Amino acid sequence: MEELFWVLLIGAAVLWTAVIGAAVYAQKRQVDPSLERQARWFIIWGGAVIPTLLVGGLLAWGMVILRDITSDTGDLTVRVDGERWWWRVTYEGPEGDVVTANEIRIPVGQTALFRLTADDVIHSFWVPALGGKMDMIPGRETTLALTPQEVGNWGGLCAEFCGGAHALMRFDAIVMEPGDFEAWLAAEAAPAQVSEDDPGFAVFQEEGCGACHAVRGTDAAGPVGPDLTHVAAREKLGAGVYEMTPQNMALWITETHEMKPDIDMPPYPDLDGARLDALVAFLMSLDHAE
Amino acid sequence: MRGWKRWAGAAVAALLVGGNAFYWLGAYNIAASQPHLPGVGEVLHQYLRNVIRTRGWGVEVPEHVDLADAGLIRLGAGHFATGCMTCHGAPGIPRNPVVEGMQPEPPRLSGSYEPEEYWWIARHGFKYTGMPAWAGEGRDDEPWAMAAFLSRYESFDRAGFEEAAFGEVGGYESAGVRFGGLPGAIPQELGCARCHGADGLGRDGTAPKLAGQSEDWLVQVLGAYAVGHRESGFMEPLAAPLSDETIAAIAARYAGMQADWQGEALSMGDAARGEDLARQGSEHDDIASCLSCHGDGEEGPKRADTPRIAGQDGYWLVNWLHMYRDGPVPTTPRAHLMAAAARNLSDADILDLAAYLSQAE
Repeated sequence: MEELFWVLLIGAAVLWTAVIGAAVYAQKRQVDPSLERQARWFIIWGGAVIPTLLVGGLLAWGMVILRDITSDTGDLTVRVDGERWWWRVTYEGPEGDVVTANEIRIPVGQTALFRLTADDVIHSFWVPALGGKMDMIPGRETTLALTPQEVGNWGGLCAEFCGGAHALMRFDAIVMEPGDFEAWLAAEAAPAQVSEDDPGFAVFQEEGCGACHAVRGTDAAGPVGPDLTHVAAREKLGAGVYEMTPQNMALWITETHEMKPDIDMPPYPDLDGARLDALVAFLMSLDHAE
Repeated sequence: MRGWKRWAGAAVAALLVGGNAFYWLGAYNIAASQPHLPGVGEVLHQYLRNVIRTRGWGVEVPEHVDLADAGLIRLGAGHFATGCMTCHGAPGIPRNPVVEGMQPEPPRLSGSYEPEEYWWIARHGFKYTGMPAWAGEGRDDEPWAMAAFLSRYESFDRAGFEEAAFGEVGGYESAGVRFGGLPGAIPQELGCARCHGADGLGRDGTAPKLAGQSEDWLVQVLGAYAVGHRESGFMEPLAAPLSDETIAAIAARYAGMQADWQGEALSMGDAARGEDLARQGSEHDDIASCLSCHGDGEEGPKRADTPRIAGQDGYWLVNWLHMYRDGPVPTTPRAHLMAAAARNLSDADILDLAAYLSQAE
């Protein structure tokens, strides 16, 4: 990718210098009608043949690079499904799929292949710091390979208008050292540690949260909304929008549509006091095991 | 030209003066005691028939409605006894003399319209006649019971009608027609049994099963019908006059009944797919699992104010799912949760869910 940038920059500089030089030369020289044959030769080569070869060569080279970017191999495969307005993320791990949401973690220096789909409308997957955007189209799969060079949280977003909360459809794209990434993926793959007499889990069950959300390790297996198995291990809440704090979690549950308009999750304004506290405490306990 | 204008001006002035005099003096007597001028009544009545015929063209019997269903006909008869017979009389039962003084006089019925036309009449009523629109605003599913009953009206005699509308309910005296109430005195708590059955199991598909529903839920729903937070042309008129004590007593009684449910199945829908949907929901179609809140027949609902649905009649499940998807959504505190759950259901999903849930144990 970086190579492409320098080739284009230097090539453009050479071409620009040549064109300006030719213009200056044409201004200075005397008009001599006998040179008409030379002029035709100049137009044919300078105006048609050389540009065709140059552009054709660049196109061929660009196709080769594009093939690499959209290749179907990587050191790691991550499926991302665009939903209104969040991301369902599935790591194809050594021991099967690991489902999570709204946060992408990839190891530095390795190529991660993203297989992108959408459930309802067209979304577009974009981590500006790491590479180009790629549309997510219902009914087909697109791919995008990213090879991050630097550790950090680079931030990603949906780059195709997809309805009401489009502007709040974001995610953290976190590039980690390979060892840290392996540990993170293993922790993410583990089921949640939920004690049967957790009062917050009782509220979770009574309120029917499991109709839409899954918590692996319990009988909550709802397929509709984001997987909550390790929700508290994510940095953000609401698809990359709010800091993951108990206060924001409580607001998310009771004033859902003020936090993020138009989303499918209904608000639970009648949850309050001890029941809400217990539910929030339970959700915030869904972290990675130490 | 000038002459023509003068005449026209004079005519307009005369019309204004005359028209105002007619209007402000109340010259045309609209007293119900006086007959219409010759021909006026006939013209108006023919116009009413024209309206019914034309509007009936746009009405279609929904797929899941079986107009020959005995339960639906009984429900129509029951509501006819609640809301219609005061003015229209009933098979073998004369009208109360009060309504004979109305102009136009509410007709005794004869089954002369098509079911779609009866639906339209029951749903919309008529201006200027005393015929009201359906009390459950937006409940397009409900008047089909009236269509089912009224298109068979002529096949009922008095005993048949009373059996259909009142069943085995004790306390009913068929002697006379009271005005503004049910014929004879039915204690309010027995009134429920007319359709829901004395055992709370819905009188063989006449009305939803209530036996064993939680007291919390019954109180909440009956209260919501009473104040119009939940729309129903059947239930609102019956719930509105109930006192809080009566509502509590009714709820306690039905909550205490044996919940031995076996729903009337639908003749359509794929129960196997419905089971899958009810248990697991659907990732692709964004459908929440029903049983996560409502529970299966064995464990029951997860909260006391969530109704039990496994084993309910398919017909009602279809109607309610349509109500939560398309409105009118009740304005009770947690109804928006059900609306969110129903939002993405297709018509086929609804039939499949009803097919499974009506048979679920």
